[in-house]
Amino acid sequence: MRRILELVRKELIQTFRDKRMVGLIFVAPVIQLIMLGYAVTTDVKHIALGVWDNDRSFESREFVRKAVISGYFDDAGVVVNDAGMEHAFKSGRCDLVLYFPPDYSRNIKRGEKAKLEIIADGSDSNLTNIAFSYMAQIANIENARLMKENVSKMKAARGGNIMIPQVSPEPRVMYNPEMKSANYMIPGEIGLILTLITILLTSMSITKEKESGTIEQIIVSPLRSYEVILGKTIPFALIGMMIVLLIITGGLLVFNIAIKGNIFTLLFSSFLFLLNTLGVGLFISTISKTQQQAMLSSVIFILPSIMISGFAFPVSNMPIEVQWISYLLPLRYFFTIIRGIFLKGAGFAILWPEMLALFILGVTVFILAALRFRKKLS
Amino acid sequence: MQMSVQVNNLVKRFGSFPAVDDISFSVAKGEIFGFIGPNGAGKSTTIRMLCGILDQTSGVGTVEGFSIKTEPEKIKSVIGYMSQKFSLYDDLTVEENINFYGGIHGLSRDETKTRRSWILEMAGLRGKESNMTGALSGGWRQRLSLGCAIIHGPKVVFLDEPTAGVDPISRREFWLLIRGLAKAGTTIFVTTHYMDEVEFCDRIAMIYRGKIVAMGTSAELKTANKVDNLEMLFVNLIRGME
Ligand SMILES: Nc1ncnc2c1ncn2[C@@H]1O[C@H](COP(=O)(O)OP(=O)(O)O)[C@@H](O)[C@H]1O
Ligand SMILES: [Mg+2]
Repeated sequence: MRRILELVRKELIQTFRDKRMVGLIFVAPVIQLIMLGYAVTTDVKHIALGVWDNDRSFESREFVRKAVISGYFDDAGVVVNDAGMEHAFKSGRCDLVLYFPPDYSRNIKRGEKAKLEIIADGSDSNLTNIAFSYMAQIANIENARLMKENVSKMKAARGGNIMIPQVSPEPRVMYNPEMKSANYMIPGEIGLILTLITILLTSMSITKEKESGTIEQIIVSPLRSYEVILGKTIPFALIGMMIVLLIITGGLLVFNIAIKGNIFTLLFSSFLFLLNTLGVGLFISTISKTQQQAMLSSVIFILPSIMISGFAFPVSNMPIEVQWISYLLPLRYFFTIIRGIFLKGAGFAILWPEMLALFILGVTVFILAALRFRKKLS
Repeated sequence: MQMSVQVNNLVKRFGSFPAVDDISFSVAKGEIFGFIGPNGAGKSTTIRMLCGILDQTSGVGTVEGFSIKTEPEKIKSVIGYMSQKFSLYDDLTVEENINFYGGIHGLSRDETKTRRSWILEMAGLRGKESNMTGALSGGWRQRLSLGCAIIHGPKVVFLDEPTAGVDPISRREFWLLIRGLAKAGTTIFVTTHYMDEVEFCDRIAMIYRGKIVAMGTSAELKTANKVDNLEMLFVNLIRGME
């Protein structure tokens, strides 16, 4: 225990004595926080669409069919009540739910205004805006069809009193009602920065010792492998947790974003996530001889994993093969978790599958790295 | 005589290249054994195998009775190792380095404290406890590095080119320290490429291209080969191999 503490203490002293590292740890998150708070994405496809159909009519099915064949929406299954919808949003299964009230088709048949609700998750304000405008277009197409149908009926009735019905979608936003894009980006930033900093710090601190030769002194000491591994990861786990708190505070002060869910659930999930990044960092250090190699390998791992984990572009927009790969990326689950906790107040009950995935991936990569991490020179 | 280090037919190949090529020797307890050879001869590779941090290709070796192949962790608890580059953390202070090495060798806080003042005294670093190690000059770094390597009072000490790049006065002082350690019963295995340091060793082995080309006390080597200069002997032996 004392031996591990000694390793941890030394690592923290070294990290904080290095001005570049301090900059990386504390300045980078703040700059990113501000930049990302204002960033937006465009061109959204494959929005996950849930259907809550209390009418179960030809007309309601027709509307859904039009939405799906447009290519902008994917059928994400049915929702049967309020609780079901909330669950679908919090677990990330749906981005959008179409609600057809029981009188939807009756209103159409009577030639009246038929209301339907479009309820958006809203965490991603940009996606929500785009989804609403797509839905408005689909309603226009549906209205054109109804118009044509009724005009021919009108002709048949020789100008009798036929009224033309109209479907009228009413948008509603579930979370993030102010529709700030920062609300979506800031929690994501926690995942981004944690990945970047903990992988880099871990892999570089070990390769730095390889370069300077001090690794030989550690290998030749009676330290056990597991002690070295803990001594080389605990400090960066601590720094990672500090970063999480820093971003939470920054988000609150700069963008006025408060966590809806439980902060301890968030910290616990961050810990699960750190198992993954520290494991990856450790693994990279076992395949790199120099700090430069470690940095390069880290970037090669980090960049694509950020791109395809749904940080800026929704995963559902990507080719199916890429989506499969993304199932192996801890960041994908972590994004769902932190956005869920931050914006929707989701907790264990809903996010446990993602947490479990993080745990399994994390333990696996950590064990793989630990097995490769031998107390020998190669 | 009790043997502290014993090596038989030790081989290390990197790929097909034999860095250490079938060497055998032994070192008695309390002896200063010098391993002399030019750069690339295989000195560091030998030392690393003996310290249990590099796997050998074949052959057997024991340190304090523990096998380098099957009991490297046991070896680690009885040896001290000072690696080629004076492995110290440049971004830690003198005191932080000492504390760290004490800590990873399992010394308690009190033990570390006692040893710390001994090391500071020995290395002449009193008053420089909070200096950054990276800013120390060669001689100080060398002695601090030695201090850290023996902080836990090991039975055998492996020193890999401890005098390389250090001024002549510091080298002399260093050898006096080493002799003192050996007198107190510590076995010393030391590598060097300075021929004049042979005089400080009880016994030496000359190594070239992974092979031991001559071994014995300085006097033995001189009489056996009828030379009065070991440097000449080494040059001749190497010529003979070409
Ligand atoms: N890890 C390694 N991989 C490949 N070759 C190595 C490795 N370590 C040492 N060598 C080679 O083995 C030979 C002996 O090296 P070394 O033991 O460091 O020599 P010395 O310490 O006597 O200068 C050198 O030719 C060196 O290039
Ligand atoms: Mg060497």
